[in-house]
Amino acid sequence: MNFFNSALPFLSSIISFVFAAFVFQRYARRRRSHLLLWGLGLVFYGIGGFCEGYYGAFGWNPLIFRLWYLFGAILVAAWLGQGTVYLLAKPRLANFLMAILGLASIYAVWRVFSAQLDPSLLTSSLHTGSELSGHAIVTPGVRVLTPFFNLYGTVTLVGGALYSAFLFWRKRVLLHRTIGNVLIATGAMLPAFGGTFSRMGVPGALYLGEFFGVILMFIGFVRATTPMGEKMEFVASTSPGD
Amino acid sequence: MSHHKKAPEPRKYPPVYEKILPFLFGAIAVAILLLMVVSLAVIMGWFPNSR
Repeated sequence: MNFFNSALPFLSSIISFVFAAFVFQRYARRRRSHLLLWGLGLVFYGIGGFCEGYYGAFGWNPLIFRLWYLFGAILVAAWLGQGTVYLLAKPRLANFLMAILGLASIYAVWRVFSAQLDPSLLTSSLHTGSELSGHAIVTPGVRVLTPFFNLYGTVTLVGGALYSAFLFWRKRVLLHRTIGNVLIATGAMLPAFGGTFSRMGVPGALYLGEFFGVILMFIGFVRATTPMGEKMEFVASTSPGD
Repeated sequence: MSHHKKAPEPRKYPPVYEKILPFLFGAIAVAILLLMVVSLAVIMGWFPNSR
């Protein structure tokens, strides 16, 4: 078992599921839409990491590949970002964008699960086949979906966190939320950087980006939801906000 | 006797955060720009080894 190709993504997956459990726990108490979407996005993150780890440890499996491409490559960033949209935008706009994202996601499910695959393409060109990549998809018009989902997700998630941090910083209030959002923005960028460097042929870049990205976002979430100088306590917290 | 009303002091974070946060905001903004430029370059195939 190679650390970078199997253990690291498995670790990312475990951290994502634990993080998702924290977010769902908070959702159970507050019933806010953005928490539900962040929780779902983190479950998608965990599924993506699990599939990467499975491929690194046990090799090719078409179902695992399809699940990875759908949840790990297409949906994760967009659904996390949609959570931020619900937090910051007016409900009407958030619902409208949610409807578009929902329809686009159903279309993506159909395209990914009906696509023709060729695992031999994973080892072509620069790619060694040790990491999953969309190259195994033969059917045209599937991989082209990914940048649209990821652009929407990155802009809303990173932009939203940065915008929130800036607002708190400008008013010099809620320092814990400023710091938390800076960490979330940084963590959300790492998988995007990892994916880009992976496409440039840097080995391990995507999995490292995902691993450190989810850790930073988790720390950021804990920081943002825990006022400075108080014990980190999710269950007993009664402070307003998210 | 005069009553001078002092203007309220602007709120401030602890000094270390006052120094670090503007730098971090700038660094993230630069990183976003860099990400966009590099992503565009990869998509357009400007890097000779990009996939």
